[in-house]
Amino acid sequence: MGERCLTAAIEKQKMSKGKTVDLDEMLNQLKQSFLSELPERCDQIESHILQYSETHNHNDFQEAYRKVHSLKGSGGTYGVGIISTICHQLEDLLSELNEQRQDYDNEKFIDHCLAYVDLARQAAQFALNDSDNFEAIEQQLEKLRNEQTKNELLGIIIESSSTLAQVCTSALKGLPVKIISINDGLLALKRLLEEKFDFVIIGGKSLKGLNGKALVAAIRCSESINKDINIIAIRSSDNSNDFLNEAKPNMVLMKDKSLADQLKQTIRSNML
Amino acid sequence: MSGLLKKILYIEDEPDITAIATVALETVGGFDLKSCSSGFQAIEEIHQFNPDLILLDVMMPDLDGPSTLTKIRELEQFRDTPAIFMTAKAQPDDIKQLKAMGVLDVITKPFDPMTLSKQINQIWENAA
Repeated sequence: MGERCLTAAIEKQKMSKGKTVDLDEMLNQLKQSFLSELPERCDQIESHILQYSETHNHNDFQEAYRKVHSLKGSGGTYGVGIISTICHQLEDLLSELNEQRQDYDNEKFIDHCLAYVDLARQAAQFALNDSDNFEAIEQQLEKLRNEQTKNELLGIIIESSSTLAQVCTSALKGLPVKIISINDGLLALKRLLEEKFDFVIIGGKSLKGLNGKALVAAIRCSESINKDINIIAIRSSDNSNDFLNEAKPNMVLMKDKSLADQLKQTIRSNML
Repeated sequence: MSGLLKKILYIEDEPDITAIATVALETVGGFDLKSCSSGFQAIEEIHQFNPDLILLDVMMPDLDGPSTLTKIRELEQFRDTPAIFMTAKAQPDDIKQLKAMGVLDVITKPFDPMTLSKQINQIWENAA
């Protein structure tokens, strides 16, 4: 969205001061502008990715990453969750490059990135045509993720303690497992409802947004692709009975000095 | 920090997010809002606006959110002005690092335009 839309929105607001404002209409107009200008933003992201693939200039990488990251936030704020989901996956993919888990010269990697950008374009077109049925896009997204994480499990750790999250992430290093760490229950639920994961690790400690018990209940009651996902709970003094009784995790690990080994063993024996 | 929250200096480089935040904070929340599209612009205009609160994005080109806040903190008058970060990064380590800068809180994007002002008021009241 360019400056003109912002100016229009602000001018409209000034004119409406003291009058009844139709917020829904205002927000809808902003959403339409966002969607109509989204292909232009996709072109910019694509251009940075292509430039990066040729020059390996880190500035191009950073600019592509920043634009994807910001589109992720905008998509959700404008109520077009599918754009956020696509950008989330693309951002994760770009992060792998940054963490040197991907080869700079990997053509397939660049193709994957560009495929995500194309999906974002298609999603914008669907949304502009007033369609909220993104099933076809979701299927393509799932296919892309599977290609990208071939032979690799994707797990999500939902935990407010960054130390515990780090222990779990480190424990799984060396295994064909990719871990995403989130400390906000509501954001975690959003991702679990939209993206396919292979397992969840949850500590049950108080989370921002939504507590662990409610989060697990919401996933189990949902019709999402993660409805029957394996849930690994980490038992601590804070969540001993209440959380475990209600959440009914598939596996329970003790939070003690052997946690890293327990987790590694559990993933190896049950999922790989 | 005391009193009613009225004036918010909002720093965000993305026009589409600024547009919706303007609706959320001015129209819905009734705040007196000054939007800046970069950290540099904010540093130039902060004296004239004299905000009660600084609300800033994390990932911005040239001068990112943490660097902007650091520079604002170097200005004597705004050394203690409360601040809130907004970010689409929800990784615990990222949030922890941002909080370590002494901000009131970190709001994760996407935000709900209808409840953003309520959320900010809540953070303000909790910190009072």
